[in-house]
Amino acid sequence: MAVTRSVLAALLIGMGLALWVAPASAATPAPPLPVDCSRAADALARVQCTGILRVGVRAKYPPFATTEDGAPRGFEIDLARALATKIGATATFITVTPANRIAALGEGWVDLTMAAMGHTVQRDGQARFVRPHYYQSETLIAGRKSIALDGWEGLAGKTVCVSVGNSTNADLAGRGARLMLFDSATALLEQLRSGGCSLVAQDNTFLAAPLAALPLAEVHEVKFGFAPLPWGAAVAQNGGERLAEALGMAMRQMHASGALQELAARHGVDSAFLAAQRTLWSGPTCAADPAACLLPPRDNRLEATAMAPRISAFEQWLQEVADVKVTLVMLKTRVALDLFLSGVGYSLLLVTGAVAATFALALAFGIGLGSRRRAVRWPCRAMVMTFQSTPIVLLMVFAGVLLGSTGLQTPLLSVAAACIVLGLFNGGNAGQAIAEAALTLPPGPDGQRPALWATVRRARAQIVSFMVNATRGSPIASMLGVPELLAALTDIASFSSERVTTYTLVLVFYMVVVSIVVAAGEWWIRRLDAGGGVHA
Amino acid sequence: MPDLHPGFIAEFMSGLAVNFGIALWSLAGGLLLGVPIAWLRLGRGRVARLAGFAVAPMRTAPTFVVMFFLLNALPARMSLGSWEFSVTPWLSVVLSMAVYMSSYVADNAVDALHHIRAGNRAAALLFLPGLVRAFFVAVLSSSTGAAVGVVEAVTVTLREIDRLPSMGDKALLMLGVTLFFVLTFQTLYAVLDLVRRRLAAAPTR
Repeated sequence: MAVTRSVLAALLIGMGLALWVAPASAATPAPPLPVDCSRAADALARVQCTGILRVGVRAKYPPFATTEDGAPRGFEIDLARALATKIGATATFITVTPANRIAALGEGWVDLTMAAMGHTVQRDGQARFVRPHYYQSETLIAGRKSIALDGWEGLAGKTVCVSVGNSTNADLAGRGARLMLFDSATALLEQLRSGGCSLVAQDNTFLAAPLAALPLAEVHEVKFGFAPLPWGAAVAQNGGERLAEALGMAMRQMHASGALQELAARHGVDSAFLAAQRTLWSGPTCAADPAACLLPPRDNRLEATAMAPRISAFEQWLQEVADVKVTLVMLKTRVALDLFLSGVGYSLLLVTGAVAATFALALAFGIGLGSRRRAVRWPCRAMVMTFQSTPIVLLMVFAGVLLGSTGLQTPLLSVAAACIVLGLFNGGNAGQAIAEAALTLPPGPDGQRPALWATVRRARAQIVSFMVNATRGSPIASMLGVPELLAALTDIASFSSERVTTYTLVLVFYMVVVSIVVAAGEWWIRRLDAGGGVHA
Repeated sequence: MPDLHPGFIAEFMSGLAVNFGIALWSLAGGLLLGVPIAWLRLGRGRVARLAGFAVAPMRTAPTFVVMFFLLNALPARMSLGSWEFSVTPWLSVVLSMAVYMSSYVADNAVDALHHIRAGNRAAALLFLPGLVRAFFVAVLSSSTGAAVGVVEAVTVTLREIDRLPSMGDKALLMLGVTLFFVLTFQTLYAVLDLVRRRLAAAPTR
């Protein structure tokens, strides 16, 4: 019964297609052809007149499209050929890139783009997509088998390597993952192989094959997938309406007959999506009302801020007046602005806390190291030696692991933990300076140790120096999961693709903050000096 | 004893060699830039002031942020004359640390050059153990490379921490690695202090 229904549906679609792509459709009459039909405004008329469908394809995207011995091969190549045949044309292939595949349609040097292109709401305004879609990808999170991760729950606080510009990076950042950026998807594979990345996120069409092969397959696996993205062939926005409809009808027929799934299987890209589409389009519902069965494009637009137009105008003005290209992406979308503002807030809190913790722990270590009691002095000395000899990154990560094990890893607690680590690291050294300063001061009247405040005054320069050091080291707290400015702007850069202004801004911000702490320290020293006294 | 994977120790030592390598290159970069700046600062007038002015941002720039800046804000492919190169994560760590090392060298070499001019060679020589100590600090600081994907000792440790299932095993590994660092570097510092004391005790000429 099911077979009969699907055959019937295929016949109906086939008949419809035959009627539709007939040279003169009754529903939408084709415009009269000019003398030189290759210059016809209507794309379908032009293709049928010339008998050639110019298809923009990727050159190196196996198994979808690749060039072997000068000849294009792959799933998209064979699909484009099949579609061209169905509308009475022959496909010829032109190489396009992700950067020019839509422009190629607008500029008219291809009739159809079939180039591993996701159908998004944003792109709907730039090109006309052929519906239904011929494939659906998703973003995979893959990593070492030893890491237990099977969904969003365990992702917060974990470092995930991503390629810059993926819109799904915003999803990862929103779930609390720490993002490490790389220029290309290929770099992610290199990092997985070398061990530089334990987890990566990338399109399944790119990751699936290398992950299934040695040596990656031995110790890596797919954790989970998210953000399904339908792939669509597209035609030009202007003049492409009838061509899109004709190709769409052909696509529906290929789904319904199973031809598309068979083609995909031949190229090793068959998927649950294609099986579901085959079932869908071979059923009676879609034959009766095709529009109801079309999948929506993925909506990856980010909500713009109210000031976005003014920011864009400012950027343009700066470019015109000073020939300086500045892109303030962190002010243009709501999600970026929220990350940016909270990043600034956390950074200031972190620096304040780190400086305060350094001072407080310097006093504590100063007292402890100067104590006459071994039970106090020796543990303090052991701690100082430990902090002098251990990479601060390691201490930060240890604090993160300990915090994570308690299940209390909130941003504020992470800030507190980072301040303690920075305080111990720098306060230990400053405390040692205080204890050493005590040895250079004369003892009190009864042979007592010099007053603490006197030793602090003597060691003031070193104390300030370590407080400045704590400020300089504070961005390392991003490794503990503190959403300070560096972490926030890295997240923003991951989905906005803009990095020059973003990282310049974070560098300038921290240099200004360090300069403020230096100035405050110098002011404090001047005040102590102004107080005078024998111990100054 | 945590159930470490068999290659861990070899990988850790190989990672540590990467740390030493990064520190060595950044020290070389620091000397290359820092010594001429120190020499310029010895003089008087505008050039000395400019040299002093150049060191200030080097002191205030956080190495960790500079590393991200170099990796992300510079073009992926660069050229120096006919030499073309990529700004890799490793190079970004080396350069970011070389910036700070330059300020350290520029500050301390000025003192050493003053001593040399004054004929106090022994005091000037104290610059060398200071430089070696800065090198050791750079070895420890080079672990910031873990944040950008450089496979060094801390990266290898973090990978192993991720692999271990129980919190107890993780804590034992952290303790073991910390102990290794403490013993190694305290020994190096002790040797260095011995050299420093001998230099300080040497008769002044």
